[in-house]
Amino acid sequence: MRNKILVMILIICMLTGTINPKKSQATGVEIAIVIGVEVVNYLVLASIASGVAVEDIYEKKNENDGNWISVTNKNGNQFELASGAMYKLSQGYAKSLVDSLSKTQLKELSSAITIDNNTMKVSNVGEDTYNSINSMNEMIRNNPKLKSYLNSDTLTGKTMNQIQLELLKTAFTSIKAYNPNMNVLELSKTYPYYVLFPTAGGYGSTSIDENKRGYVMAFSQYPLFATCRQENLTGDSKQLFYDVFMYNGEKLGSVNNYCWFNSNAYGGTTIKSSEMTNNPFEFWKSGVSVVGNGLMVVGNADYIRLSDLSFPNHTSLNWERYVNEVASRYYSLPISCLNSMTIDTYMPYPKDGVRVKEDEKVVIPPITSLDNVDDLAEYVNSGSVKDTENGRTIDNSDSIIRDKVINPVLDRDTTGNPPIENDLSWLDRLFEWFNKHLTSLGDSIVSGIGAIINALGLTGLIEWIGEICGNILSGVVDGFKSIGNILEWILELLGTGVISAITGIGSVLGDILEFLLGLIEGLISGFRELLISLFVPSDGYLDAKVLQLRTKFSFADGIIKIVKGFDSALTGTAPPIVKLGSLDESNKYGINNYVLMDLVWFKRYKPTTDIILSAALWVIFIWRMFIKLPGIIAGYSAMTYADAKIDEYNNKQGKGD
Amino acid sequence: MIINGLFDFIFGLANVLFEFLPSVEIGFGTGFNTFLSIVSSVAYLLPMNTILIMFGIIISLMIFRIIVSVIKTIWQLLPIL
Repeated sequence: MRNKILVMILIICMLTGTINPKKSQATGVEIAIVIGVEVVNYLVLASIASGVAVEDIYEKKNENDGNWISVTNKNGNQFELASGAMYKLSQGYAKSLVDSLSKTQLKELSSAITIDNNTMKVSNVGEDTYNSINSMNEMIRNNPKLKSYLNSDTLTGKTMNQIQLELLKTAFTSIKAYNPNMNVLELSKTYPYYVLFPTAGGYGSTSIDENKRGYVMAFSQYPLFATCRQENLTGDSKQLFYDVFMYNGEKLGSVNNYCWFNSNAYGGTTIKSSEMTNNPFEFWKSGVSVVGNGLMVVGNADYIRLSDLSFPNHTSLNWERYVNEVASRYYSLPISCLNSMTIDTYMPYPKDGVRVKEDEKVVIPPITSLDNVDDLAEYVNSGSVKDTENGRTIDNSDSIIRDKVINPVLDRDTTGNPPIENDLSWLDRLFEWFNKHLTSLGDSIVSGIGAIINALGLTGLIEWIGEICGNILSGVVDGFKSIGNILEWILELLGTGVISAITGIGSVLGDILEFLLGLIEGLISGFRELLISLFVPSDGYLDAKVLQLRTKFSFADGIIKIVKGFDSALTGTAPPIVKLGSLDESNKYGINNYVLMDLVWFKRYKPTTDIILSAALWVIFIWRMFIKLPGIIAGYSAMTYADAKIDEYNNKQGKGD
Repeated sequence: MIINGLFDFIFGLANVLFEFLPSVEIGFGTGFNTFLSIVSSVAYLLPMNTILIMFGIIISLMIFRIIVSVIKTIWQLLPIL
């Protein structure tokens, strides 16, 4: 079963080379439409394929050679590719890919792959995919360092945040090394492509042109490589396509003449025009991936927020990892062809800077100080990681594919219906509980009546009547049949024609009586249905009633929201920024959000001041507790305790009041 | 059917009572958000974790006092002791 599931995942990747960009729905091999045909595919393929390898042969892996996956194209050509530790880094892709397919598609695709001992064999791979994977494979095979990385446990024990920050640092260090004098903003105007933000498992990029500025970024759940694209920043035609694979500040490999962005493979889309929005994040939240210029921006649907990456002297960037959950329920494919959207749709944006989504707020770092690569690299390298409960640690025992990805996918609803909203308010939950218990009450009534009937012997009576009737009728049937047999025996002597006629009569009578028997049984079951219809509320009845009442208590949600607002205000960890709020046109001071107070500067001092203030508070608090201790033990205040003692003394001395 | 009728009656009765309730809408306004931001700013300057722990201790001690006082009061009220 495990192999079968992982094989399905691999097949999804392998078949991504047969292209038909405008197709809107894909089945089987047409899934190839979904994703591009070059590096992304290879990485996805290799990583997910190595998931199989890790699952099956990880313990046997050779540090130098790794394990190999056999890939064969339609012409019978064949090569092998390395697999290894990328398994642990690629589960986000695996999830989104698997999520995109229905059970039928998974089954259909799984038929194209076999596993022979330690080698997975994939057949009928599209030609483009085959060639691109093969070229990448050669690059890896010829690069011992990269190959070693593929088969290493380098990332074991690191959290997602640590990995992400390291990837960022290495990427910008690489940009700086490539051309320290480049002006990011100017170059981006000339080449309105992407200033790359390498991230874990995908990447983010800024897209800036003369009139519009925007920022898109996306992440997979797990990192693959830090890939650093420099070509579009320089316009150097000789280095148009140059990918650098880096990790921990070390260059693992590079690819020339290979362009990630040149992919013309886009996914079929089921997006309606009414669902479009000007905000790319809204796409992601609504479960749509963005594809443009061959750029696959991964990261559709629900997002899980990781901890902040804190950049001193600037504000904080909140990195979010996106998992494909909503998309798989709304859309049949994870990747959508939104080329025009990414080109034409930029987030409305102020003069400078990068816009990063932070929950519902938008934080704009002072990018004006980062208008060259040196500053950009310094900016990123100043980052530090604050691990939180969300900082997932990658370890060897991770089995997310098997337990958290595959199984729910196989069970998911592929009807395309919107998901059921799980975020219920307390009132919803109350009514849900009410509804549930009322329904069970109805059932209980029915079963209770049934029990009463049982206790009174009525069911037995009814069944007995049915049985008696059945027995009688069966007896009559048998009797008629016996009579028929007797007549048959008697009339055999008289002639065949008469015999058949009489036996026919007996048979017809038997059928009629069997019909009557069935009728009685139907009446008994009908009686049960009657009880149900009398005592069990109809479907949706209580929902409607609950909805009717709920409108009267809608204010409760507002109260809860206010309480939560206070809670988050008191316990929040991000530096607050107090704004004046949006002013309308009638205001003479302008229309904008004015910052009244920005405590970002205090972030670096907060740990120290917290310690100092905490120490002082604890000293005072403990002293106060010490003073009050007698009263606490006695059950009343210290002053009352002292008064009582004085009274007691006075009474003993005869000086009482 | 019978249950439906029963709940029609109950919900109908409740609806009649609820009709007298005015429509109440409680929500955030821009001003409230600003107020929360100010509260958040003040809280950000303080070691809120420590303060919340102390607050919890104070509440716990108050509950302890109340329990002891109740026991003592009951003890004194008993005529046989």
